[in-house]
Order: sequence, then structure tokens, then C-alpha cells
Amino acid sequence: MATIIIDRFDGKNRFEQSYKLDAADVAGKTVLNTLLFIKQTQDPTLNFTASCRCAICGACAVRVNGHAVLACDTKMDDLIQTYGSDTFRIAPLANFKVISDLVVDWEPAMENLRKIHPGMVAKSEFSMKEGCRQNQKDFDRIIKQWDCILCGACASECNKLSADNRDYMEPFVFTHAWRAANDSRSKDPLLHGKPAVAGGLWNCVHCQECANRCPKGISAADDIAGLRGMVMAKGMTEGVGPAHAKSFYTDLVEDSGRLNEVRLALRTEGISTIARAGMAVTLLRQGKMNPLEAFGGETIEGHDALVKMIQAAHAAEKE
Amino acid sequence: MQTEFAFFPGCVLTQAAKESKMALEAVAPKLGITLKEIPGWSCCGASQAQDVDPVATLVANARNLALAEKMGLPVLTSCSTCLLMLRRAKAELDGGKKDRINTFLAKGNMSYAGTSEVTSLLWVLAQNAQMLKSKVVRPLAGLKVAAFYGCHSLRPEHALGFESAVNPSSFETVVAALGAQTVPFTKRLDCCGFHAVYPAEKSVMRMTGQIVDSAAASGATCLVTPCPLCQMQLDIYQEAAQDISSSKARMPVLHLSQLVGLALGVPAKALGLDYNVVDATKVA
Amino acid sequence: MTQQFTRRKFLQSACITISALTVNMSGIEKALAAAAGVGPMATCDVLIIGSGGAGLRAAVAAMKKNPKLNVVVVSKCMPSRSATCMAEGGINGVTDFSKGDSYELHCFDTVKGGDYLVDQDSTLKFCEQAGPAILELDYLGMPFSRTAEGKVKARPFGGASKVRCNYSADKTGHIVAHTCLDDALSNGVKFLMDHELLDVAVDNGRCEGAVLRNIRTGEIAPVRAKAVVLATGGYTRIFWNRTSTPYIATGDGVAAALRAGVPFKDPEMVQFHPTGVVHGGVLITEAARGEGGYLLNNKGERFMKAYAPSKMELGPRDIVARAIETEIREGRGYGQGLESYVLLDLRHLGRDKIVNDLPQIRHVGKLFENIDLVDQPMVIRPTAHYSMGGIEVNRFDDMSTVVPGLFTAGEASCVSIHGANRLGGNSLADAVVTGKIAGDGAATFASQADFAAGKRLVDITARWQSRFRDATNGGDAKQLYAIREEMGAQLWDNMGIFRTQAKLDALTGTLADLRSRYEALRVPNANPVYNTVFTEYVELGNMLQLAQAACLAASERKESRGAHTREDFPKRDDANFLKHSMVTMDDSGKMRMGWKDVEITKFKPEERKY
Repeated sequence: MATIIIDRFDGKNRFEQSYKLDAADVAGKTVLNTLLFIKQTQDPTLNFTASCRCAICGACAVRVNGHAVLACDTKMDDLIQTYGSDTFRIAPLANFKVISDLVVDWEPAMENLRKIHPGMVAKSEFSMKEGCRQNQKDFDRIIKQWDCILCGACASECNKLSADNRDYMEPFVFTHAWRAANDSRSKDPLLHGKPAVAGGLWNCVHCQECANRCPKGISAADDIAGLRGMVMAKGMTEGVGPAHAKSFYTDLVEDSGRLNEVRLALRTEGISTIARAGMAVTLLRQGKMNPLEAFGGETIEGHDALVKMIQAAHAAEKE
Repeated sequence: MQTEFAFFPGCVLTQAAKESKMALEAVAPKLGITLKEIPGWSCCGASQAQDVDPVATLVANARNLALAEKMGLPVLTSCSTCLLMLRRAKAELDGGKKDRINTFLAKGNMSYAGTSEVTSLLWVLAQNAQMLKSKVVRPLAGLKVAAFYGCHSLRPEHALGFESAVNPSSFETVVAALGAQTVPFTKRLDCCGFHAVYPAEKSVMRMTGQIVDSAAASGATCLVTPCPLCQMQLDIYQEAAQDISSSKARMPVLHLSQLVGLALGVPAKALGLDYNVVDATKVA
Repeated sequence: MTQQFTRRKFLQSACITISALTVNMSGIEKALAAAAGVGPMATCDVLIIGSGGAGLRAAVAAMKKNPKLNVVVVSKCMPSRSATCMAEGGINGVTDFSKGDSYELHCFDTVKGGDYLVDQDSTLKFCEQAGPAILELDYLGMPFSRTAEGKVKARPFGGASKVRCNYSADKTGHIVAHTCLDDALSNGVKFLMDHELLDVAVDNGRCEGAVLRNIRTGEIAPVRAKAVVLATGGYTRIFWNRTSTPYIATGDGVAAALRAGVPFKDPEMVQFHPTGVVHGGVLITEAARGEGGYLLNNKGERFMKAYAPSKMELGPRDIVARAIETEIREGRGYGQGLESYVLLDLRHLGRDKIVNDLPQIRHVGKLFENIDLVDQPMVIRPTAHYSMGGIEVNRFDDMSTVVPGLFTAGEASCVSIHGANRLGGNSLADAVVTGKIAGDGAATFASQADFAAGKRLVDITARWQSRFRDATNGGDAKQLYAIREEMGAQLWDNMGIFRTQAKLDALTGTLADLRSRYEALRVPNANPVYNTVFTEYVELGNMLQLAQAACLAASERKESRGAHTREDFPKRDDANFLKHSMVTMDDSGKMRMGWKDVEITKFKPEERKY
């Protein structure tokens, strides 16, 4: 006997509703099959969206036991094995406004997508009449990010979006910005990069939920990292985010080879790190900080060799 | 059981989370584990330097792994971000970049072969829970632990390759072996926000506070985490986070190695419990 | 395009709800509306129903044609869930003339592929625009697989005498859909999401607009529009249980057009793809056979040797589909009834080949049939795949229908480009080319037109509002699903790959019964908020009407042509049936059969041999 508990919303009230199914009714079936089965045999008022049922349209993402999945692409048997139980809680995607039951509002996410100008603008050497030129390698480089089916699973689990969505965007938005910016045919990567920064590119907390939940295996986290590198390389180096990242790099390559926490604070926030004076006192008191590190830590053994290796890598990249 | 490891402490274990290293070095001999620190290991990039220069960080981690290979030992780290960075670097190298990166490593007379696996303290303990249990001299009976995994010990699942990221059990296994009890809490698998505490401070403080509140609401005596970054975030910033939300909940936050040490009979001082910001001595 | 995209335009281009559309009514109209219990009417200049490739292309074209127009795209859900994203093979268009290919040759292949039921002049224009469309898509940022010279790569495809099926790995449709969506978003296209089409209103021979239901709130309201573009996709969902198309592709636009007096052209022309999974009909791509898979009957024989001895499993789709159905009918298949099947065996290709080159098929096998293709043969059966028929296009040059102000594009339309059988790769080309033409046409019309009075809109709105109240007043939803399942099963058995007069006559009766049962149907959910069972109710009504129209035409077309196989009339009969079937509905709901000449100009009809 499988028990499906669904978090429901009828437009006014939220409530949970439990449905019981025979084990035979879920054996070999997907989550979508199960939802359809419940709707068609037990409760026609249950609402959810589905379209292609073969993992290409992105319509049926829901949360099972708090984690987003694509319903048509998820087997009940696999879930039973993962959780060691045949009782499941199904809920709508998190971080979206719920319209009804498992149906969520996509308008704000579409507006975020609009902000980063998802359509690529081609270089001037190309034209509508002649099309573009691109080599297969450049196609291969971006095509994974074109697997995105806008299912919303990444957005559902995003820890930053849950904490505060006002200064952030759905992870897939950054993936779309990345793919347009990194297309070899693209005239102006910052057309997508700038609004990505304005939309919170540096606020990602690195929780890796997006990379873990994506049914297509896309890592929005990696795309965010890639975008960050690109905008910095193009001169957008102002702000706490870039300064923080660069501090680690500087320590690794130019300084001791290991993180210097005292310098990290100074480099990231500059003089305004003085506001953290209270924190510094705490750390000093607890013996967790050595202020002498402000003058630089001990260089690691073999650092020269490391620097040579990195220089060789840089030289090779230029070719 | 593998008893010797090339130890990769990671940067924070040298200073801001040095109590984690203290505890680890105290418990290792009791578990029959020898930790040989990798000579000249460099920062793993911490997912920060990767944003600036992914090639340089791949080279640096290839070097870290090559150093361990020279020692002929698998790598053990007790920082989750180091774990993820090293494992991802290894996957990239093994997945086709090895030859190219080796041409750069050659400039320092080094070479990556691919022979060193990368594991973590949590995994080693979970894989040897019976052994761990047999070494417990002071079962932590009555101790209610909110076992906080932290993102990089779990996600992405395919990069870490150890257990389910949605229904993991390694931590619970280890805590049970120590005689303590894990309490379920809603934020168990969530993110502490450490990596964005500067650019997204308000959000991160909220995340920190919610984790502490969640652990407190579930009746836990303490939070424990295998990652020193999570420990730092939940411990060092706890007061600030709870003040912002006016929450009264306070929770000591222990490193996994500290909890293990307590059960193995290591004195609190040797475990560096004095260094924890939220008073953890009462857990001892 | 982006240069004009100022911040102000961005603010204006937000997604909207129906109440945010401009309100523009005269005093008399307001009174009329008020009397009917309908509030002030929303308006827009160009209303596009459907957000697949065709709808999105129409929107961008309309906005570019006249940036002053208020253009809105209506979608039953969120805009990227359409059938466009399911296409895999590629998009046809001639861009390489160096090996003897030409627009004319593309046209000829299409005409022959369509078994000469294709309107030739229009189709030549289509082919002339398909080539440039490929280059335009490239320029807009669509990632294509590439040749060594960096140009768009094409592959050979069924029925094509030259290589012109341009592709993006194995998911060209998905890539086209998202390229069009990105372009639409970047151009400020406004979306009305989660709104379904109930009816199109025509009065005094002019399209007034459409009646929509806001699925989120349940509000049923009219939208007055100077031009309406129907781009709602195909209607193969009438074969509910055996079709490769999405759940949402229920032919709503075709049914609405039919009710509005527009002919439903070639409705009996439905393409059956040979290989779909047994449970539901999701497609197993042709690549499975292309890579060397065998089709086996229950005797373990590679039965294609009896039907296409030289091409075997790689014969044309309709031949392979008929072969499989024949094997099943004659007792050499497995299973029973709708779940009968034959086997597609890939085991001999080896684990590596399957894992590396056919991962998607393997995934589909596991998902739908719990079969791992590495170890077991796949169970397959033909599936309804594409609707060649659709809303009659009166003039290809602007994709207008016979009703001024009403346009159509994509699979919902029937020019006819595809005639009695569509070539692979032509449907994506159809969507992007006819979508653009319809957008241009609608914008040109809207630029010169006034709003219609809206009286009929008000009437239809009131009727739907009371219908919602009546229909959701109790009942048993299981009846709805039973009627739907039965419709699908009956259509499969009686109007599937093999048709006879007897079966079609029986089907006519069955459909009439199902129709009466439908009229008596109630669904037990009166909550207006996101009432999906009412949506299913509306869709079922549409599908039954379309099924009846298709059955009528199939019954009257007493010949075999392309996808339409009459066992009692096995030959193509150009003398009597080289013409389009045209089903129209009168005001009482009765359907009538008519015919229309085919544009035959360049290519004289010949026997269709490959």
C-alpha cells in the first residue's frame, strides 16, 4: 500500500490530502503516472501540469519529500528504494507562488529570464541573410546548457532564493545568460553578463542544489562560476563578490599558496571591514585569528613550482 | 580498513578552525589511523578561486593530488569544500584533461597519475562504524545531536559518489556508533551560506539563524558538522544571526572530530573545545 | 532589435493578466456587455493563440511589422510546453545549392511525399522561405550542428532527394522552441499564461476576437482583437491512447475555427509514425532503425522482408507502419487489443553502441516499458504523430482564413504543404515559416482595421459562463476519462492505419453516442481556481468534434492516398479524389462534407514510388 500525501491549495486554503494506492498501482510507474492515476480514479479536483510526459517540455516538476524531481522522469520504484518507504509527500515547487495544488506561477521567472536578454545578438560580421559561422567545438561547448527545459527544479531547491528572492534570480536564468554570453557567435557577452550581475550573480551561496536536482545534468552553479569569471575578465571587478573571489586567487598564486583569512577580510571589504571589528575581537579572544597574518603567512613548500605550472597553463590557454 | 592517509587539512584548519585539526590529530591514533600531512599542499581554491581562474585551480589541485600520489596514499580531508574541489578536479583530470594538465605539472617536475582516491573523515568513519563503536570508551548516551551535513559533503551526488543527497545516512550511522542520538530537524540538508557571507550577508544570516532555530526546535543539545566552514558559519556568526532575528535559540556547534573525540575519551581541552565561540564545553 | 529595447519598453513588456489589457469600448458596447453580465472588454491588436514555434514566430513578426501594435501571445500553460520541443529529427530548408539542391527540388519532394495532395505554388513559396529561415534562426542564436566549414549541418531524411534536414544533435525541435522563446522574450512579447481558448467569435463575416478562460482564476472573458492568429498545434490527441504528442495538443484552435465557420481541411490525414511505445505512444526515434535495429513478429521473423524487401526496416514511415499493423492484425504480433505490439530488437548492436549512440531510446524504454534495450527487445507499435489536416488557409501569402481577421499557422493550419503525408523535417520548417507569415499578415491587417463591435463575443462569453456552471455541477469525472479512452480506442481501431467503409460507418455511430454521453457529462469540481478537470472537459468536446469531422472525411474519401489507407479502395484515385476534403460546420452544429481543388502547377501527379 503506497500513501501519497499531497500539499494542496484550492485558491483560498492550504491543506494536505492523503491518497492510498495499491502497491501494484505504483510498481513500474512514474510519479506522473501516479498523479494521473489519483486524478482519474480518486480525485479529479487534484491539479498539476503535464504535457510531453517524456522529459523534454519541463511541465511536470514537483517536489517529492522536499526535493524537486521531474514527475514524468522519476520512477516510484526508485523513490521507494531511495527513501526506504512507500509513503511520500508531494508538494509544488518551492520558490514559486502556488496557484493551485501542484501548479505554480511562472510569470516572475519569465520576467527574470527577460532581464538577461536570452536571445543572443550576433557579431556584426554575420547577417540575417547569410547566417553565421561556428565550428563544431564551439557548438559542443555550449550545447549542454541548451538542454535546459525550464522545469524549475533548480529554482525550487535554491537555498539563496529561499532565503531572499529579491536580490537573486532562478539558477536557470544564469544558465541562459551563460549560454548566450559564451556563444562564439555572440557580439556582446556583457549584454547578458551585466544584467546577471545586477540580478544577483555574486549572491549564489554555492549550495549545489541546482547542480544536484537538474534532470538534464546541467550545473547552473558551474554556469554562475563561469559567468563570474567572464564578467571579471571584462572589467566588472567592483564589489564585494569579485574582491572576495580574487582574494583566494591572489593568496593561491601570488602569495603564500594558502588562504590568509585576515587579508581576506581586508581585501573583500576594504576599510569598511572595520564594521566587523566586533567579530574580529571575538575571533582574537577565541584564539581563532592571528593578526600578524596581515603581514602575510608562511609560503608553502614548492610554491615556486606551482607558480611555474600555472604560468605554463596560462601561456597554453593563450594559444 | 585503510589506516594511512595523505592528510589534506585545508586552509581554515590552520587558523580559524584550528580546533578541528587539534581534535582530528587527537582522535586519529585512537582509531588506528595515521595522518601524514601532504608536504606543500596548496589551497584547493575553495570554489572561490575557481571563479577567477578555473585552469589555475585545476593545476593547483592536480599538484595537490600528485603530491599525495607521491606518498602512495589516498587523500583524506576533513573540510567538505576541499573534498568537493579535490574530487571534482580528479574527475576532470581522469575524464580527459590529465595529459594536458600534466604538461604544465611537468614544469615543476610533477605528474598526476590518477592513483589517489579522495575521501573524508565522515566517510571513513561511516564505512568503519563497527570499528569506531569498538573504540568508544564514553558512549554519548543522552546526547541529542542535530547532524548537519553541509552542502559539499552531499552535493552534487554524482561528484561525491558516496550516498544519496536527499536521504543520506552516513552521519546518522557515525553518531549512533558513538552512542548518541540524532534528532531529525528540517534544515538538516540545507546550506549554511558560508561561501556568500560577504556578498549576500543578510540572506546568509537568515539561513544561519534558521538552521540554529531548527536544531533548537527539534530538542537537540548541539549541532555537529563534518565541515569546518559550516562550523565556522554556524558558530562564529551565530550570535549575529540570532540577534538579527531576535531569536533566543543558542546551540553549541561541534566539529565532527570533536564529537568523536569526546566519545573516545579525549579531554575537552585537547579537542580545542575552548576555541568554539558558542560555549561547547557543556557538551563535554 | 535590441537597440530599441529601452527600459521603458521593458517595463511595458511584462507578462499581463487579462484585466491589464487596454480597455477600449464605446458606450453602446459597454451597455451590451453589461446587459450580458460581461464587464468592460479587454482588447488588443493582434491576439495569438498558442506559444509553440509558430505562435512565437508570429508574435515577433507582428511586433516588428508594426511596433505600435499591442501583440499578445496566449498560452494554455507556461509558454515552452508545446509539441515543438518534442521534435527530434531536424528542420528542412535548402541553404546549400552546390550539390544540385534547390527550392524547387525541396518542393517536389514535399509534393511527392504528400502524395500530390499538396498545393504546389504555396509550397514552393514555403520552400523558398524555409531556406532563409534556417539562416535567420542561426543568426538569432540557434545552435546547429556544424560542417567542417562552420555552416549549418544537414542530414539525409525520409523522402528527401538531397540532404537538407538541418539539425541540432538529436533534439532540434527543443532547440527551435527555445530559440523562438528567447527571441520572443528579448523582443518584448507579452504573454497571457494559463489562459485557454474557448471560442473564436465571428460576426458579420469578420473575426471579432476570442473568448478565453483564465485557468488561474476561472474567469471567462472576451478579448476583442483586430486580428487573431490560431497557432494551437495539431489534433492527433483524438487518438488519445496512442499518440506521440503532448497532453495539451488537443486541437482547440482547429475546433474553435470549425465552430466559427472556417473549413477543417483534410482532417482525415493523420500521420502514423511506425515506432511508439506501447503504453501511450511516445515516440521511439527513427534512429533506432537507422542504427540497425530489427523489427520482429511473434515468430521471431524480420517481417519487413515481406513488405519492403530491399529497404527492410528503413522503408518509408507509412509502409513500415502498415506492415506492423498488418502483422498484428494477422496474429503475428504480441499482446492484446490496444496493447498489441511487435518487437524492436537492438541487442545485436551491443551494449556500447546503445549506451553511446542511443541513450535517449534506452531511457524511454526503461521509463515507459521497464525494458533495458541492452538486454531485451523493445515493445513498439505505430502511433499517431502529426496532423496534416487543419484550419483551411485561404491565402498562403498572409496565412489568412476565409474569415477576415482570422489567421492560422503551424500544425493547426492546412495550406496544404504536407498533403496526405508529411516529410520528416518539414513540420519545424512549417512552424517557423508560416508563423512568420501569419504574424506579418495579422499585423498588416490589424494596422488597417478597426475593432469589431464584439456582440458575438459577448454572446459566446455568456454561454460559456453558464456552461461552466452547468457542467461542473456534480457528476462523475470517471465518465469523462472513460469517454476519452473510448474515443481513442475506437478511433485507433476504426480510423487508424487501415480504414474501411464498414469500420468508418460504425465509428460514425460510436462517435455520435460518445457525443451524446459527452453532452450529458458533468464534472464534480466547481472551484473556478485552476480547474483542470474543466479544461479536460473542454478539450474532450473539441476532440470529439474533430474526430467526427475526420471520420466524415475519411468515409467520403474513397481512395487510398498517403497516410489515408482504405482497404476497400486500395489505390490512389486522382480522377475522383485529387482534391482536398473540407468539412464545415453549420450553426446547428451539423457537419457537411465539401471539396476543394488542389493547386497543381509544376508537378504532374505520378505514382509515388521510392
